Amino acid sequence: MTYAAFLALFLLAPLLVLALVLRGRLLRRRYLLLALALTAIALAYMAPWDHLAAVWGLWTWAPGRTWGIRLWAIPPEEYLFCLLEALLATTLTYTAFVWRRARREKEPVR
Amino acid sequence: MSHPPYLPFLLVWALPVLAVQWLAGGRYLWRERRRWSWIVLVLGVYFTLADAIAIAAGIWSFDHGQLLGVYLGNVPIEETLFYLLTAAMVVQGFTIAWAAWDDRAQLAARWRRRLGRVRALPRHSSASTPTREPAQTASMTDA
Repeated sequence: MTYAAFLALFLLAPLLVLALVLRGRLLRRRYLLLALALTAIALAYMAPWDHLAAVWGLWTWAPGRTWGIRLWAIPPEEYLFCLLEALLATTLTYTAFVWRRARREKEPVR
Repeated sequence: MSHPPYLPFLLVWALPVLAVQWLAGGRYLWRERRRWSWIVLVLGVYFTLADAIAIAAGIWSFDHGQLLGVYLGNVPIEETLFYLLTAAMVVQGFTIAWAAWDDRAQLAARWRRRLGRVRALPRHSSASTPTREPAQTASMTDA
């Protein structure tokens, strides 16, 4: 399995499932702004840290399993991992908030 | 070049962020703890399982000399911690921002008050500040 296949299977697929569950609610401004901002922060905070670890050899990626490109010492797949992980985490949390609101609205007024 | 092993390198990177989040938004995090804590746990477990598959497939590998030597199957314990901490940073960040969005009017008013108080401090008998004071005191009293 390549890194790209790994991303499709373990990150893109669950994100698609969440997108199907949420549908129109994905377009709400508050969610979009927060998810975008947090993902950007995650990428900016991860890159120098991951770069150092790669330079030091704490971890390495197999040449045949990645596209072979490096941005700093990091393959582009790794940035995608960070981006998709942040999106998955924010979207899951958003789903929890959406569900709570839906449940509250169903409850009789006390 | 000498460098830290994985675990201290991870903790030095992640813990300050979590500390700042709890200092700034601890009130929200505590109130919503049942909402977000299970998401961090689920993501930690899920990504550990995915990591086991990635390591078995040979996508990435580790310098075992820089690890604690504790493994869950083939996954270094540092990796599980990495997924828990990164999930916590994002999920807590989202939770704080989401809750603060509801309170944004009060938060903005509070910060205006604080700034007003700082500006109203006497400044070495400077002549420029007194002219601004009426506006500042007005904003301090309206809340």
